[in-house]
Amino acid sequence: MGKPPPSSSSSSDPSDNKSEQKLQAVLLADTFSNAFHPITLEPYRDHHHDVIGGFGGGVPPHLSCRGKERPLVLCPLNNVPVLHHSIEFLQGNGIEELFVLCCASSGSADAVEGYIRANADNNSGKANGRSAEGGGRKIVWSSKLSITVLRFTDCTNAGDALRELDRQNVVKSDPFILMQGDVVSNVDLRGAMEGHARRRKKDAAAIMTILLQEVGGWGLDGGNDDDDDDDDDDDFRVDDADERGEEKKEGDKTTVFDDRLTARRDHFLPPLRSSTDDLLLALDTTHSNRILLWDDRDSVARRRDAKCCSIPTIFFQENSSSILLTRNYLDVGIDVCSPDVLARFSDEFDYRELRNQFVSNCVSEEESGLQSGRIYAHIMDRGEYAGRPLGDMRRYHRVSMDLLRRWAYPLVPENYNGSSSNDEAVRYVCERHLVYRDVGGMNRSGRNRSHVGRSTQLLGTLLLGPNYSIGERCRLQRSVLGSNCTLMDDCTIIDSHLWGNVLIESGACLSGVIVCEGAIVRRGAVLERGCVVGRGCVVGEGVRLREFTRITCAAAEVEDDDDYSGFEDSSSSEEDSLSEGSSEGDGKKCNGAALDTTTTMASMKITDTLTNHEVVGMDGIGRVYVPSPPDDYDSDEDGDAARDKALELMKSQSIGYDMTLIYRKWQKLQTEDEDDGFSLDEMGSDEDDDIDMRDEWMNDSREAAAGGRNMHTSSSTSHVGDGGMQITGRQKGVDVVKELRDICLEHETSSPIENLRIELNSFKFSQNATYGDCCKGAMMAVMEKIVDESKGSILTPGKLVGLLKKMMEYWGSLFQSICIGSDEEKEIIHSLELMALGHVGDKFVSMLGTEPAFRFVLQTLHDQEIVNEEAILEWASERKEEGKDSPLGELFWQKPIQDFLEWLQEDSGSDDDGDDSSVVESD
Amino acid sequence: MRSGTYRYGTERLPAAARTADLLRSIVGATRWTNAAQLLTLLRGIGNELAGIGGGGGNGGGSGNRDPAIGNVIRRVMYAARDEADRAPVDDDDDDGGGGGGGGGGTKNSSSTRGGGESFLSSMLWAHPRQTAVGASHHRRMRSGSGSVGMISESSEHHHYPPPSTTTSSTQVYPPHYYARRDDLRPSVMEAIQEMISELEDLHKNINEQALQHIHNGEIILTYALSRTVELFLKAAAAKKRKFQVIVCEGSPHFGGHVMARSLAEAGIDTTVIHDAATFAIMARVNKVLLPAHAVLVSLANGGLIAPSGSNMVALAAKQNSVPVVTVAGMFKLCPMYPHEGQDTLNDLISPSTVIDYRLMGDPVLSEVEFANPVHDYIPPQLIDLIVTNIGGFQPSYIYRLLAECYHSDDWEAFE
Repeated sequence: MGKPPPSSSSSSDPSDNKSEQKLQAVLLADTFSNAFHPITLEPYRDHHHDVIGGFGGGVPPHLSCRGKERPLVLCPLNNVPVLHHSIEFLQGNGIEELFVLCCASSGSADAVEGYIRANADNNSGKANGRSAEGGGRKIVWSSKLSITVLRFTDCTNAGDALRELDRQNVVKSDPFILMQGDVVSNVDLRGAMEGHARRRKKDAAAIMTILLQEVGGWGLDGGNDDDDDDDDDDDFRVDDADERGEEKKEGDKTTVFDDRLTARRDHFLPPLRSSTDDLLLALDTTHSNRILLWDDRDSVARRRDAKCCSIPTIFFQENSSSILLTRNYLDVGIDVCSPDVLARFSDEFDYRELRNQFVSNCVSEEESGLQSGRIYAHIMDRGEYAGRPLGDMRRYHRVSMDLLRRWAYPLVPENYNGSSSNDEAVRYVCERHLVYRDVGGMNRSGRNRSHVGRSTQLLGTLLLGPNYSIGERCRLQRSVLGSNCTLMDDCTIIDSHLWGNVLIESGACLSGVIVCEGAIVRRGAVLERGCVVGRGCVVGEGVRLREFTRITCAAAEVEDDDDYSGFEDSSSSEEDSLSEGSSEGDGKKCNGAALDTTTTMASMKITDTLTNHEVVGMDGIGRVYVPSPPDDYDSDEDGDAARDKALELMKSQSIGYDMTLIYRKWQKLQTEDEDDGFSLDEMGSDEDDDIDMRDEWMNDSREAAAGGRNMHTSSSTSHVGDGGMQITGRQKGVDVVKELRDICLEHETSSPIENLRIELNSFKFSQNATYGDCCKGAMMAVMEKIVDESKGSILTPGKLVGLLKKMMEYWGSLFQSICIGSDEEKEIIHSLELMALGHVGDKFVSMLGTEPAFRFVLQTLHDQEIVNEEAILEWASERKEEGKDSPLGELFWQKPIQDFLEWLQEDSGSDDDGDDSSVVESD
Repeated sequence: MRSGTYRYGTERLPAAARTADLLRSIVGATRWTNAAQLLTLLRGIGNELAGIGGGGGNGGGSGNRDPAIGNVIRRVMYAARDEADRAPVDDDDDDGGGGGGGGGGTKNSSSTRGGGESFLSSMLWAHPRQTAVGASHHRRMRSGSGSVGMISESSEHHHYPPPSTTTSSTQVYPPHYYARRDDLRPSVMEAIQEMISELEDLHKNINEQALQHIHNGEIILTYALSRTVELFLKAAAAKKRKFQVIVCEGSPHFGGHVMARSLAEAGIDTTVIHDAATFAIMARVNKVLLPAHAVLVSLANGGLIAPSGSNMVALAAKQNSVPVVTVAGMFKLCPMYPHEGQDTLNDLISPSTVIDYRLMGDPVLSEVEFANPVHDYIPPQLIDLIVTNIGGFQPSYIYRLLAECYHSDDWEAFE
């Protein structure tokens, strides 16, 4: 009719890519999940196909035959297929060329292509020619956007599909958008794309930007408050400065325990997260949110596998002042990528998944210096919304309601246009309490038969599609009605989705149910939460469907057959119990009931493969769908356990599932883990000891305070010991120092001393010990080693010095690093003193207590610059007041020691006069 | 104008200016020979833009997202009608007979011949044949999907139904509109150009009046963010008027904060208050200056569509007998009825500014309905003066302006 669009035909010509690269996008139309089974197993038939049939010439004949399965992306969300939402979203963001990757069966690819063709702009549809390029056919969606459907039917995962895409070499724009097929969003991508381009210009390795939405974590962490500050709900911020200097630099890897935190009372479970998603991220907030860690193991797995995550310390050294460790963000499934990403996929041929393999490896690879890819995060603005309705049905319901509650404005029903075929324009009007009605048919008299009974309550957040008819005394809440739905009198529809051409007879009650096209719910039937009624199924009169039952007409999967056989024997009794107990619906029972249905179905297989009459009623149609366990379930589990697990998963993916159950489970796991964690942290000493130690320490500190005065007059030997260790207190001193000594002794001298230092350091922190304690422990260990070395022979002072010197070649650097000041050095002398006096063990007394030995050791340490003269002199001034008759004094007033001290004093008095070597000679 | 997130407080003027540019290119490039074809074309564009503008879904069927777009098109249509009516109709007998429409139409056309006469008559038809026209009107343009950019960048290959083929349009216009008119194009283009320059000079013209309305020592209260108000105040400040401005912050979008910064930058003594303090502070205020999204006109009405919350301000001003002045360009003048505005004319945007989405995890809170309307309707009796680029008017006078700007046949909303 109109003028032929001259330039649109040329725009579909691939040759004009040279002039200016069009902005491209890749849509992964399959999510490789079976959360929407059995809906996605059912044959997809749509009137759009009929439209195609009438289409002039442009459609290949095989398209007219119906697809075998419903593609996931063609599931309607608020009466518009999710694919349509995605395409409109991309078009709104200025995408000019879109590749839709279909990996499922060719039937579903046909359906996707058929849908796109049927809904493309009618006038440009004429110009839709075929081009052989890329194996796909270019479809002109509008004058701005052309779409190519690529069929990679032999690909079983996202990685394969992306590799195949790379092989075809059609994605050229930099950046391009990589989007999961199920994203519904109102994000403005311009900001993310600009940021990406800016980083990419500076650094060619910045290959990817992932969009994140802040939705809050699972609340397992002890968030400090729940006001809406931007970043401290579940965040754990590691800030710069000293902490980093001391702790982080010390090893190759630092471990950050993330489950030290306790549960919060008023937590909110994030509704947009899937039940398995517990993404832990580390973001470098100084460098435009570079992702340093991507850990998307689910909560249970993370607790099972390893209780920690690791961040390479190199990230701390790369002069970033702030690293954010958070579980607040949700991956929305939209990425801004450079074509390098596809190349990377081709290189790493074993990557199967985009997120947990590609991204998490890519960010952690950087530590090994490959520098092949940096990934950044773009945090969405507060007004921006992104939901993934096809992840599971719980989120499907949630996203649907969020859209109706206008969270994704302007993506609201008023603005849906061209949702169905063009002649039947649907226009919604938002009325009070967020009730949306179709008024599109108003102007065409007779077309709109929409009718609501006067006594019917429409209670908010409802979407009523075209041509609905609702009887009297119904109650509707939080639901979506597709086109041509009929509700008779006295129905209750809550949290439910009716997909079109659905008939609900009077008195039926649906709560949390998805009813697919053409299904019928007969009089008085009750469908409990989480049920799914497949395409064309019929739920019989008065039937009560147990919660989380999924009814389908699709043929059973072949591999399920073996599993059924095991149940056949017990089926008859179960059947009875099912019919009896059909009125009960408590939570415990549901598990059993769901299993019942599996067994009954097994028995029915013999008589009728397609209908379980005892479930859907004698006048019903449809079989119960049982999820098949995932392929990779652990082989040690038997079939039952695996099936239970699959059932449990299916339930958690259904509408109405109480997420607090999952939350509680995790909480339980966590408390268990925390118990374990303690014993690990204690490094061998149990908790009881810990408490004892603390009490003792209290006593000691009091004693120490008193001991300061007692010291001079102390008579008993035990108190002398106290006096010598007044800084820390005896009990603790022995304990901690002994532990430290043991650590030193256990250390293999073949490995670098640095490792020992870290070990000591971590122990020091865990026990709140001082470096002095470390010095003491280390010195004792050295002496112990010397004793060992001597192998029982009596050590003459000369031999002792020789061995000590040898030891210090290895240990010296340790002392140098742990001796911060003269206090620590004094501790070394103290420890020697203790050993000489026999408080630690008798073996040292003969070695150190004899006349010149102590002095020689002191001097050697001084020579080795482990103890400097300041410390020695300080020590001397402490001991000067000691009486000659006390053991300490006895040691101190030894002649050689006094000589040495005298010399030291002279030496420090006249600084440059004598150096160390001269002292040795003076001996 | 593409469907991105709604940015609150965006300017209307650029949209209007872009629409005018778009019209210039389309009207200049497409083939049409008589006034009827042109008018059909313009109406088609109007419908298209209204559909894309996002507001197309409501019952009133008007593009409420940006009424300015529709207004600009109406202005051009008025210009086209004016030209068609004014010009000599000598050749009417030759080839204008093809129209041969309804008898009523002929009568009208004969009475409206001649320049001055047409002006008067257009004023007198306050609401003349609109009902008849509305009934015959049908939805010609239905865009399945599209964006404004699509048209603006590819006006060449866009598909407008050739006006001549639509049969019902023969009844819509007076017969002489179907006469071939070669002189129509330059004069219409000239009218569009005139309008473009008017839009360009809009702020200048408004600001020239600033000194008449803002006096030394006055305390002026304004609400949220508005470019027009901001420039108006700055213009007064630039002319050495000393006055104090109190800005209501305009929760939940807090455009007032931006406004306050901008005013303070210009050296104006600025105070920010929260919205709830408006009434308390009103006693000290000398004048209230309100921004307008659109000026509604229907018969004697001159009500405003303004940022949500400004009705409260206007009421507080009324209570304290403080004059309320509105600053708005003529392009905001809208032939719409206020009753269209109650439920449907408003935009309910994302509640994200009202409440954090993270709190939606709370099962109780998620059942609470959060509404975030963008606009308020202020009835004309609360407004004392509307300052436009062609002078200040009382709301009751606005409908006369309307007749000068738009032809009454074009009042009906685009859809």
